[in-house]
Amino acid sequence: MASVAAARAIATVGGLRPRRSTYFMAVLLIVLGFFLIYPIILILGLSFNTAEYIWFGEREWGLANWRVAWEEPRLLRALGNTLMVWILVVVISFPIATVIAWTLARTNIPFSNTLEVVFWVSFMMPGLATTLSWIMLMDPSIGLFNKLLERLPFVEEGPFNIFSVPGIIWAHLMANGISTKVMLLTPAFRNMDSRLEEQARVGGAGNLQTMMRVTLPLMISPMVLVFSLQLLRILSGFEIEYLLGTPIGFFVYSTLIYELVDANNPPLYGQATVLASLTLLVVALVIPVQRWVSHRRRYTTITGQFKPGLLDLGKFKWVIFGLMAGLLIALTLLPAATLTVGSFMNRIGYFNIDPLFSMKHWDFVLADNFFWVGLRTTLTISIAAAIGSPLLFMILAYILVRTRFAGRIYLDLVIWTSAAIPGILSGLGLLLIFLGTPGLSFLFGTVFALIIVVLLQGNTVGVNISKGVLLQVGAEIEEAARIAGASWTRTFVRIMIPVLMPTLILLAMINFVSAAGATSSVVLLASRETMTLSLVALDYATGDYLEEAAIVSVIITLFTTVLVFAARWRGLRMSVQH
Amino acid sequence: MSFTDRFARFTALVALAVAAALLTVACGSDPTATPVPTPTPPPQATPTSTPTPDEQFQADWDALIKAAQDEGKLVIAAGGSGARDSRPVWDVFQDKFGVEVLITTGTSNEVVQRLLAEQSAQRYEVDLFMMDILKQNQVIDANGLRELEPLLVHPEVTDLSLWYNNQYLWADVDRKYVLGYAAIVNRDSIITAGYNTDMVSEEDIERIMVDQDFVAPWFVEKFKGNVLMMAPPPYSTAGGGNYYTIAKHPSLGREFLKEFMTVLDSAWETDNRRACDFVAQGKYAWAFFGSNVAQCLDELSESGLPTAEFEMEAGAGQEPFLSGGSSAMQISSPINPPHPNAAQLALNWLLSVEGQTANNELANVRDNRYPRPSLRNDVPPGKTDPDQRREPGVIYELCIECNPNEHIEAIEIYEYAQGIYEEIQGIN
Repeated sequence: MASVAAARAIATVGGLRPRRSTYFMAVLLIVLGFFLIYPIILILGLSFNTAEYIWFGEREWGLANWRVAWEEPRLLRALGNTLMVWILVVVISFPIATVIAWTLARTNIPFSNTLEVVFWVSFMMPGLATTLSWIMLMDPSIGLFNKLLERLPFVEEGPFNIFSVPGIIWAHLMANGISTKVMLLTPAFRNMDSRLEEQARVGGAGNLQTMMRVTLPLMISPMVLVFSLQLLRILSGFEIEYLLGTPIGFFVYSTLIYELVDANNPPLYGQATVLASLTLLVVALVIPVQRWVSHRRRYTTITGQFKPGLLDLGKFKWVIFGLMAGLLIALTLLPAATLTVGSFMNRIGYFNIDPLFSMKHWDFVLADNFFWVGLRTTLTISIAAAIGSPLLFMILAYILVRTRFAGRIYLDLVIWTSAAIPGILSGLGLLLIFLGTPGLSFLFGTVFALIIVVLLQGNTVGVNISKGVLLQVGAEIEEAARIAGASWTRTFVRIMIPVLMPTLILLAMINFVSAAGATSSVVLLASRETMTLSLVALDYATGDYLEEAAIVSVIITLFTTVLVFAARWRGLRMSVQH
Repeated sequence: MSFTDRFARFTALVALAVAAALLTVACGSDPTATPVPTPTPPPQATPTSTPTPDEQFQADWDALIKAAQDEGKLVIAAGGSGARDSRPVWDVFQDKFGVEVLITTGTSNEVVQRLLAEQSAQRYEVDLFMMDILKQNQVIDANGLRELEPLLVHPEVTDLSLWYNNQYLWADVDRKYVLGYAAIVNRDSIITAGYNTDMVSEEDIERIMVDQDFVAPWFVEKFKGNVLMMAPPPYSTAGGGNYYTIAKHPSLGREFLKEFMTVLDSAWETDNRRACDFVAQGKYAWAFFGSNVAQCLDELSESGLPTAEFEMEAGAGQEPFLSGGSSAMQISSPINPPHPNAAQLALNWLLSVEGQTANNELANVRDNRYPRPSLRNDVPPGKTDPDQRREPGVIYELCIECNPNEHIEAIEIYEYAQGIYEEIQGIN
């Protein structure tokens, strides 16, 4: 019955007058394509310009950039290093995150909501901040852990070295490697109908067997999504590798691209674009796999008969709680405390300096006009992104999942392809767009240009998360509400929003943080009056002002954390209750 | 009407409205470039009797101040350290004239690429440009800078007798776009170095009488493998100037540079702060190249750590020489500035006694770094490093990075050092 109703609903949308939906999709594709794909086309076009300067002088068209870029002697090593780091991070983090997400969503572990929120907080912490804090803890010279261990009589030299391949893997896991996946998977696990698991148990299956044979197969769609998003980032991981790998001569694909742009005078944008275009191949691989998995069977877990329920962990619940709390301390409290204490130190990591603590760094930051300009701009664009992006992404996902509009495949293609080019180059593409488009050039340098960028910049993640959730939500829920006489507005507000609320909040948080941390995408667009806090932090960090950078990171973390708790508290009150 | 039908209609309307708005904006706006601001000439004082030159200047200057205040803002594009180092100086300008100063941030590459992109789209958003000569040259090649000399009107600035060697120190080949206003005297070793005092003894320091001693057998034997060097450009910009100075100095040269880079079996670093930490914590005895690393070690010594900046014993070093060229010491003005009067006022003020006094007092003073001494002869030394100040009346025979043509040679030398570094690292 439910599937018949769902089919009817789909047919209704599919039966929309073709011309209207076609026009609608055409406009949508043009607008999104303009902001998301056109910058990529522009910089790909630039890669064929072999002239020394791209901004002036005669253009010289040719294939030299493509030839020279692929002849880069470090290319294979960089690709090998990239793959190694990515595989190790995924192999370690994926199973851990899946088990954590399942535990949080499907079991009666104590304080599950609090634990989940703390994972969110971990995600909110800027990558730069957590990496800095782990440097402070595990630097071979000044690392606190090493210093403490060296006080032991039998330890001559501290064993930790964050500037190493294991250090890079560790930093990835502690930054976003685990928390992102937990964030993405937990709502999906939570939306699962417990009757399916109950039936498995009634049929004689144990907890583990139920998880392996029922829960995980049902979760294939969100897990493939998370994996695909991870795959898409395979060539773009930068910050950690740059900070920890450069000193030991360990470079990855993204640092190679960065070097072509930043270490050359003038920057070799053409060659950098050529190398970055490899990500387009990854996109070409990801899209069909993701579409195949999401279409080969139904993953609807929230239907009209949806029944939330929790598995009793029995006496193990406190043991598991302890393990998870320990992990969360390492993910959040430790780096946050280290950063906070570090910001008050005369010099981070020096415990034998006189005086040990000082307010001079805080005085400097709070007296710096750049900081206040950055704070104002960051709050503006982050709040805009937190409100606008979830709605936009949910609408796009709805079109992709629930309608049969012509051209959905192209919409999907636009959304996936937009993530193909790393920030350092997409920032250039956006600069070209805003400077070169007569109707948009008036926005250049204003906060509105930044808002457009941050609204759209998380679209691949946001739309795909929304798709995953919509795939889980049966269409008959809407159908039933409408049969009962509810208007579409009432249906949306009273039925869909509560069901989708955790996801909407999640998207709001992701986009808030993404906007607050935006650097490369906005650095060429921000005017002298629209600096963002992350640009200010970057300015400090590159100028050897680590303590000041730590302060800005602490402040960003602080206000995002407050927002997380507020949004979670409000969101959970409106969402499905277990 | 079904939910999905309404939904589709709603979203279609929203999308159409957005598209219509974009089209309206696109069609309605000026498709050409941002209008180039026409400089409003400062109002001339009404002559009542023939003014003296001083009176005339004061009247014109007051008018320039008024015109700049009417413009209200001054936009300076400066990347990297230049942006940070000069902020306190520009704060003085802002407070004095009531003109808001906006200084960019970002890496120098980002700042210059943005400026070029803006100019290529005929958008002119920058009044003054502070950057190293290699970046300035990109803007010169794009015909993006204007001649400075016609802008210099303040008598304190135009009187060349008040400047070192009775001339301006131009940084560009054409000698008209990029003006250097500060330079340091190098009296110690040509090689910039800092060390850990627990690992390097007083006797070791006393034995180093000339820079060649850094590759002497005793030094190599004692410190081989215990030395850290800042990587050359483009891998690191930290020690670039020092690579150039060593290769350029008549007593050392390129061969010495190669020997020095290879013979000590050095570790390599790209980050100033980390290099400083490594030496301060005793991982390495010495850090070479990079004045910021040496100054960092000097600063840490004041906090009781076993570190020091290397200074050669008086009289044992080479002849003092002048060294110009740094993003914080060179200024230019892009074409069609949005605030032309503010730009002219700021340029003249910066180069005046008051501006250069502020420079000597305030620029680059955080973390005990020193301002670069002004090239004016008539300003107090302020907080500049006594070792880096010029002797009054002395003309230094050797002036590295003072010749505008030198940047071409500098690029060659950087590539030379890069080649050695890549060979050591096995990069190619």
